[in-house]
Amino acid sequence: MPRLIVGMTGASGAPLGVRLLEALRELPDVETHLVMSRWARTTIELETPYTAAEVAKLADVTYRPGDQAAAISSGSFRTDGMVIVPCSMKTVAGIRAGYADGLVGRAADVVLKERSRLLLVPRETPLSEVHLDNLLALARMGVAILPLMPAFYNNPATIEDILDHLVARILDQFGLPAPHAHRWNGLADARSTVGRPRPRPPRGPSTPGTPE
Amino acid sequence: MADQRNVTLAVTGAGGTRIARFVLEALLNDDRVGQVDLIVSAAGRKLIAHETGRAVGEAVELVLGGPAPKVVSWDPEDLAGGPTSGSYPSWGMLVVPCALGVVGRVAQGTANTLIERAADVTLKERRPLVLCVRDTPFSLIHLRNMTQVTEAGATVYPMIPTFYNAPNSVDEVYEEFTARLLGFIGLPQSDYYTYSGDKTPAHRDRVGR
Repeated sequence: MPRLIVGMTGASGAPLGVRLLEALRELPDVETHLVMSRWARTTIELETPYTAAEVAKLADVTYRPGDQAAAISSGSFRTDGMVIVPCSMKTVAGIRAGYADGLVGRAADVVLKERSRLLLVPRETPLSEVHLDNLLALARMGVAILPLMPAFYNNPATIEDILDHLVARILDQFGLPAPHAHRWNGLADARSTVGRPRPRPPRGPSTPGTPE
Repeated sequence: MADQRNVTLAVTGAGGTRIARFVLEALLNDDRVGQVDLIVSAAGRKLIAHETGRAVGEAVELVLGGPAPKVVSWDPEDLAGGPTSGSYPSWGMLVVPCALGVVGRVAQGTANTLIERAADVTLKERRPLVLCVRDTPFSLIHLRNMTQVTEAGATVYPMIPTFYNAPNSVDEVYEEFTARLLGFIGLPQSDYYTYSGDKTPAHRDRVGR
């Protein structure tokens, strides 16, 4: 059973983290381990209709952000990798420096030392030289950097379309199925599908939707 | 107006060409801008045509849907065009959207087209160069090139939305991005969201709690 660590930190973009957790819940074979940093909790309540407690319920296991004794603090606890979404520039800097502050930073540190997959979804613009240097250093170590950037070639009609597309691209990074993904297949194909209703991923009945 | 500035706007073949229309309209509506030098790459033309459902045509008609007196259009293959020279008056250059291939060529100083040459000139003249990249994930090559152009004085400005303003539609994302981008280049706009912490009433209204 794939086991994925999901970290959420205090960058803007909480709706994407929530949408990812909803999508992962639709994959019954995937076990999710969630850590929300202190400022992620604030951002969730600012940017989504959820409380942090409601988001915690979307994961199979949720840890407190300061719990350095959690299972995911050790490489002996096997996982298929970690995604941090949204990922703040402070978190990027902390991981780059190996400064395993808090459980998000420690779990990422472990994923790196175990040569497992680490995916960061930063939401920041513009990018300073410090940001770019840190992201470059991490990319050199094999970390995947997937900035929270909408695709436009699929003509998104709603914010939800933007988020669903990004969720599919995150699932792609872990080889997880994304059956509702809208994929680019050349201009001729794109022209023939313009205006056609797009498939929508299902939503759990008990979970409120992200704001449209 | 003596203090009006000329802004060079390049549109290249990355997704998000609709934002180029928002940016061009905002520049044209701004009295602080006297002229916009518009350069649309061949790939950019194809993408705009696709993303707007129009036929590939003249650059300005393609981006705006009609002509505009403040716009001077340049052929991207015209390496003798005004923006090839630092003597041509320009405040600086925006590339919206900016393909990562363009970032790579700018990083290497490869001035194969008027867009790359204009970016090269903007850097050598120490004028603002803002590259609104649109791609995800970033590869090591992308990040290295983006770091290099930043070291050379450019600003990498990814087309990433903000969520703290709780946007309700895709157009709100475009509008917010456009207003923030213009503010960044010293043309502050009045109608954008200013983050003011988690007690902001805008949040309550928009998220609906």
